[in-house]
Amino acid sequence: MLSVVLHFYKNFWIILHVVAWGGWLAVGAPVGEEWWGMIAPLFWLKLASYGVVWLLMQTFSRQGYLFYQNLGYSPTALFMGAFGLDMVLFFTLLTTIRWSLLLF
Amino acid sequence: MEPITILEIDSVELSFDERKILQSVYLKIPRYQITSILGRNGCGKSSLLQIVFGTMRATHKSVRVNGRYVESLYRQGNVARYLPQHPLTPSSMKVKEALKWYGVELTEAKYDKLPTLISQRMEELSGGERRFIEALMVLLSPVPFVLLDEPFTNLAPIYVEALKQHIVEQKQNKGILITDHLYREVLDIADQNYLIQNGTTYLLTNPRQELVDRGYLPG
Repeated sequence: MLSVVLHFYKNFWIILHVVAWGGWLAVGAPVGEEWWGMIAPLFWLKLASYGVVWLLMQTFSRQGYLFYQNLGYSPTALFMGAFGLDMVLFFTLLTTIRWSLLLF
Repeated sequence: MEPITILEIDSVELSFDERKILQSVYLKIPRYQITSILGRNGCGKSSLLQIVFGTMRATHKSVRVNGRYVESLYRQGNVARYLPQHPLTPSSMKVKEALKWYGVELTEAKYDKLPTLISQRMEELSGGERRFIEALMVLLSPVPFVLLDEPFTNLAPIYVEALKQHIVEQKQNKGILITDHLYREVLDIADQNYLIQNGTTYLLTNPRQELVDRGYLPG
């Protein structure tokens, strides 16, 4: 399952990360106390950009699902898996960067 | 676990706006046989395959595997695979990677061009080569049923013949549902044939004559 989700996620991971990191940088790349206040807005930004990706794929690239459906995975399962993966990757990386900047 | 031996579809009803596309459809697809669906353009063949596979919603449908109702065939996991009319594989994917995902091995002995194709990306193949590779990917998949929507489209005659041979070989393991406008090729290999006309399926007992009588072929 993870390898299939990862493969699906590779189709659009760049755009999601550009938007999220762009959002973080746009508010001055906070790492101090104000960092905590950024978590919720970043989550909603990610959710919104994810919704746009979903809408674009539903509109222009529905045929692209068939490769994965042949492997037994529904578009809903793929999107939910990819969203979870994206959240984990982004917030893990963001936390790592914050800790690195605070420590050094 | 009992082996999967039969796929049945009935009570299919599909409408677009007010227009009824499919109604009173019945298909019985036994494993170890090739079943064909013929019909004019726009009669609902591709829609029916997608409904069977579970990737298109219908107003009504009943799909059964060994008599057991399934909501979505593709979600049953390794019961069926489907070759659509359009390209199936992500264009940037390499041929060998796509084959690996689908659990398919092609031997070099059987395909002289394989060593050159295998390391290429799907987008680098010609339309016919890509169609042939994708048809084989689905056909040789380790599943009991495959649904092939116009597999001969864009293929050179030599590939058509090769694919026909493969389809006949694969019926030793699988039930194969095929639809294509190359009716001669289809009738050559099919064990049973259905015609879709006015949204309804008819099992043909004397295909060539009935196809003329029902207006699918010129008299």
